[in-house]
Amino acid sequence: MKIDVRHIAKLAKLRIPDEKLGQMEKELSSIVAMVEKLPELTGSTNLLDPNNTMELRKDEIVPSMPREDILKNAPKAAAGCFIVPKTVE
Amino acid sequence: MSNKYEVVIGLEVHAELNTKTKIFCSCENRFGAGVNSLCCPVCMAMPGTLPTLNEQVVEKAIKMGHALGCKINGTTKQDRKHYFYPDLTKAYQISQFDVPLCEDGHLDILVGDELRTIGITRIHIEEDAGKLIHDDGRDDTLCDYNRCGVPLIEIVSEPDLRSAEEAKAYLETITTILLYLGVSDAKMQEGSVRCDVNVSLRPVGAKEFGTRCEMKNVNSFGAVYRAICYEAERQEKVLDAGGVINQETRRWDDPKGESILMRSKEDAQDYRYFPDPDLLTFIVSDERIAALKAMVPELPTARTLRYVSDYQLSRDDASLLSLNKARADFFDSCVELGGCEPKLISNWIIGDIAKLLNERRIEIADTALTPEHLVGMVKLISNGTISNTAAKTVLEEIIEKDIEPETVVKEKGLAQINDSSALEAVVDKVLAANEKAIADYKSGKTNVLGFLVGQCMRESKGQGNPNTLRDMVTGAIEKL
Repeated sequence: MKIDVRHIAKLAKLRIPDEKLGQMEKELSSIVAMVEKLPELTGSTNLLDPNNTMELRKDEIVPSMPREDILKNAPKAAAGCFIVPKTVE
Repeated sequence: MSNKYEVVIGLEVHAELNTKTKIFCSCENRFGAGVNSLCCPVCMAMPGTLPTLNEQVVEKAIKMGHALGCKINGTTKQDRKHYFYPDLTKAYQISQFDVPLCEDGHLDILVGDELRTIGITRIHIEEDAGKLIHDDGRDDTLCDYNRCGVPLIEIVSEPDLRSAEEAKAYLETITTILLYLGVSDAKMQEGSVRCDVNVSLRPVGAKEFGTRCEMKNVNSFGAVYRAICYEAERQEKVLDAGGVINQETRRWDDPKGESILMRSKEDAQDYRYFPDPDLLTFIVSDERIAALKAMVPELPTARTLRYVSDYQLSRDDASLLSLNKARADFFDSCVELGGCEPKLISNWIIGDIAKLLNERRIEIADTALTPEHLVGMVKLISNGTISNTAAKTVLEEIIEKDIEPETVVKEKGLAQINDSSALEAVVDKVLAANEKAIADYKSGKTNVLGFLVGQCMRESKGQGNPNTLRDMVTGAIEKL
């Protein structure tokens, strides 16, 4: 399988120098080749696992974290909000 | 648009569910709270936290699935959808990919007098993203994550819609059903229902679909209509000039009335879906799925058709009545009591009662009005005890407090005067004051009769029987 390293790097927002592209393509190809075998091993393509299921949570409110605590890890905050570089889609 | 092309439209409707808590954590799900006040380590994607799926999200989504005639996948899972944008704290959205909770459904909609069946591809559950605030005065972006993790259902239609009118009717029916089921507040103006619209054109008679464009940010019934008209015309111009339509995503700017290119297919997102390893497969039992189906009430389109066939209401009146479940339920209770024309009850509910409720911004359940009292009032009109005018006064009283309409009539002296001898003075006075109107009437302008009867009604403080007054006025003028 041909891997388009440039495309994947763009999606992952990674800057990869040209001289590394060849090596990356080789490494990623072997990883993908390995991972592609996994569906055969599980015997299923949609990966549902009815023998290992989860319980659902009751819809009951638990108080949220105080805003000042939530913002503690923010590199930049203002007006009660997290600040990120200007993003307009 | 010319008749050369057929417009093909598919809608993706996102509706926020009105659960108490978010989809994967126990933070409150509420609109309008202070910024970042409804957040916790789970919805903020702190390392080491794990999502737990809210049972009510699954149940409400299944109800909608039943209402839209879907097959319910009782054994399903959730998948990660990846994109980098700061409205997502995790840099992926938990959604559903290949096994949606509901699929293969259909929805009947009324477009004018035509009944159309629109295919529903799927309904899946997912989380909403946070809100980005772009302030012109700042060179950065503010993030409010209260909405991050609010539960959504995404309802995807087949490309079965053929006009802007149909798309608008489809969206209106979807929001009405959400309200009927009580699963969403369905307020487009608050963003709890949002819509992406796919539009393509093909020559009339063609089997193949044309290349489609997706329009995002279409957030009102009117905007859906305008966006589709604009996009269909834009594509027609390109095709007529010998061009080709590029598959692209466009943003609808409703105030400007135009769509703007966001990204072409080459830049299209590659979402790299895979099953979320933090969440396991979940199962909803067949018994529970059946129990949820039993909770689905008669839906608005079926109700409209029933009102037309059983009670001879006009299609417009029946639609208007069915639009609001509480009011339609009230109407049904009145009709069950019997003793008066369903059409008269409907007129009061969609007329004066709706007006009073809208003015006060309340619902019928917030008033003292009972089906018994409304039926009682309508009977008083039908048997000539009160006039329509006096009934409006009665209505205001029985909406305010739990009181028999007969009591209001007695207390306020609203009984209609049908006895002509008691109205003679009124007619004499009005005719004496309106010599010009009488002359007009005699010269053939008989439409002044309505004015004269109106004056008599006013003079009798709304108590005179208008039919009696009409006969008396014409009789008196002829004798003059």
